[in-house]
Amino acid sequence: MRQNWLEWVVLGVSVVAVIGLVGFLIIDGITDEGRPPEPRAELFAQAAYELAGGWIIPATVTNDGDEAAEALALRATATVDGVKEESEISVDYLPPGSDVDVSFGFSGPPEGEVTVQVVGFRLP
Amino acid sequence: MSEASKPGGSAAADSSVSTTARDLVRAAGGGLLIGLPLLYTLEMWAHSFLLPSWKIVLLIGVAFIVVVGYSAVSGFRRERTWAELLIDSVETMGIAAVVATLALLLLGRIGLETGLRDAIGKIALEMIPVAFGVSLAGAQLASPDDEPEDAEDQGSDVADGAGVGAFGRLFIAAGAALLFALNIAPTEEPVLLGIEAEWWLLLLTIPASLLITLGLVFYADFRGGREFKVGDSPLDHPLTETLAAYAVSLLVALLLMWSFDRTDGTSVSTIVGQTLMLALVASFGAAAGRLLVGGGQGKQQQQQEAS
Repeated sequence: MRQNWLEWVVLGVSVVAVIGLVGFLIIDGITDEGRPPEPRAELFAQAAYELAGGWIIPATVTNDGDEAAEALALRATATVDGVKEESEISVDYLPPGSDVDVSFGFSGPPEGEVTVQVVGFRLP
Repeated sequence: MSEASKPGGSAAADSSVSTTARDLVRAAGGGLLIGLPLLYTLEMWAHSFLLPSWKIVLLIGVAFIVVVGYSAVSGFRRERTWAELLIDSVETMGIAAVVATLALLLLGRIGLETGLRDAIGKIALEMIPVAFGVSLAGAQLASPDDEPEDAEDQGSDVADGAGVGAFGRLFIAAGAALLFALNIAPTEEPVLLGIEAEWWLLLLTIPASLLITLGLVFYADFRGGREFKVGDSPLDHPLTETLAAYAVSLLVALLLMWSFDRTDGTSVSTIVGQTLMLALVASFGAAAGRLLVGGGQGKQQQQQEAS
């Protein structure tokens, strides 16, 4: 049936690829507890940088749930020069188990802690 | 059976690595040719994680059945027992998975930072159109040198296009409808068209689909077109075949709308609207598919049988 080594390689890779893909999805489907999206933002204050007339703080948004979040909106709150400031960002899609890099902008370096709140999201 | 049916000359040629390599290049090329439009479609990337795992597995299952069907009519390789056919189909899916993975990597859609479930979902969805292309590559893009000199003498129980009956043709129609409509189904457009169309426009898509496909297959004299001829099966009449192919197209359109979560929490009139709009596209695919298998030898053989 298989006439040469290359055909055996093709067959072997194919079987592994198909079983791997379908197997992973089946296991994922079985172990899926249907947990709702759990967006979580991690701020990198040490990676913040100055922009003309602004201060940018990079962050990574992770989804720990089993479902994707669509149109996710996040709001960061900080105090700059004694004034409370808000910065909002929206993420089109946040797949489960994935992360998206975002950045929050403020008018200057924040004093004290920056908090991030999930404003809302849409379910798929 | 495969040993006896194999023409002596090609067995030696088949065994060379370069022939296999050429088959692979052809398969990958065919896969990309059909798969690239959907590899560039945003909704396909998003549906990889919006769709639940079981649905993606189900879609791969449907795609596998279609690939088996395509390989049965004419495949990536010529010698075919049923076991060989199944193995060929697994290979088609495997090649498609590899091609889809490489393409998604090249396009930057998956990478080290992509979640595993997200990446697997993208590969699994994108490999479906690619697999159709791989499967068609052997059939329709093969060079004339590779054609079996006399297909009927091979004695395969899975014959070439010439032996396809009315139901075989409908199966091909379904596969081709799926292949063609799949390019449009993930996008927002069928939903918008369905929602925004007046009722009489939606109604008009039905005679439009029927007339155009009837004309394409039986009147326009394409290579592979057939004459108005009544056969043994009730489905052999041009009108009944056209109607049946349209019904199949409607089913394919509905399956696709359901696959991409367009039918959940949606009113019946919206589902009907988007299905009709997508079925217009699907019926063209179904017509093209019937042209491809009804062609050449088939026409001659039918005429021989008739005389």
